[in-house]
Amino acid sequence: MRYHGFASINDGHFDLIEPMMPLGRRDERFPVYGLAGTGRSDRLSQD
Amino acid sequence: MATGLGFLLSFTAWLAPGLPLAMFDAIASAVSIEIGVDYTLTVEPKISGPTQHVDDLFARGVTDVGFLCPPSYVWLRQPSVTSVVLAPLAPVFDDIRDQGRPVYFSDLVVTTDSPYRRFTDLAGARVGYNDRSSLSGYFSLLHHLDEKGLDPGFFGGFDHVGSHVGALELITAGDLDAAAVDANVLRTWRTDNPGRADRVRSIADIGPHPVQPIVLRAAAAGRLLPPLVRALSHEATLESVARCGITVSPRSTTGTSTSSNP
Repeated sequence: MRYHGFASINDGHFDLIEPMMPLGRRDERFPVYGLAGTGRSDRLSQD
Repeated sequence: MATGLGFLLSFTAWLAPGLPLAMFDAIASAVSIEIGVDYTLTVEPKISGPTQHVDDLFARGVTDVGFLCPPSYVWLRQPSVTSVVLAPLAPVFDDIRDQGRPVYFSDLVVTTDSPYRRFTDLAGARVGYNDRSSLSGYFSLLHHLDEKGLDPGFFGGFDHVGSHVGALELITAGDLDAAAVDANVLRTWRTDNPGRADRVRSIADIGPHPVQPIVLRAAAAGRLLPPLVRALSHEATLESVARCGITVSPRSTTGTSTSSNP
């Protein structure tokens, strides 16, 4: 994978995905299978 | 350098190891050097970003800088929350579809020898998604279904599998038929797994999506933002990323992007 650096963004960058968010709540009527979890793990430290 | 931030800067990468941890570590290191403090980098491999339903690590001051998926930023920027501030710079990857913009795509992945050729072939198929904070693996797929007047009941199963890489492992093992996978994660996985790279193919892409942002803890943003922008602007930072095994090309000249229409 190549990486081109950084480009400017602003808050408007994300406005068009906001209407998708209710789709997730609607999907909650469907069962969830498989792995789940939000536990924190794998802390890496710089000495 | 006295910053009032204490002796330890805390970074959290919700996007690793699907995206290379080395990339986030290089950025964290550059910012910490710019400020003059040590840092920790915590990996959250099981979810693409905080959800509305879990503890807000930014509000509690547990983490100062986060690398996360766009839906989490949309949740965290709500007026009732506002625990984060958006960094004004975001990564640009070299996927030809990105056209030098801070965007990315989902690839709809199946096994190379599967009968699926297009999205509509997936009726009744076992489809997986990484997690419910993910734009590329979850929300983009729901949106794609919704645009066609469908819902996840169109698939034979719509299963939480924990990560993009987990989805790829299940697909190659024959335990899952398809998943929408972050295109940069797919390319990284193919590089890391050359013996299996040709066992999967993409039958469609979804995007462009706004690329994953870098966010700062709001309470510290006034002190963090200037050094973070300086650090991301240094050629040395890009060279540092390159030393982590990711090729760096000259800095993008792309301006502000507001397009996002998967």
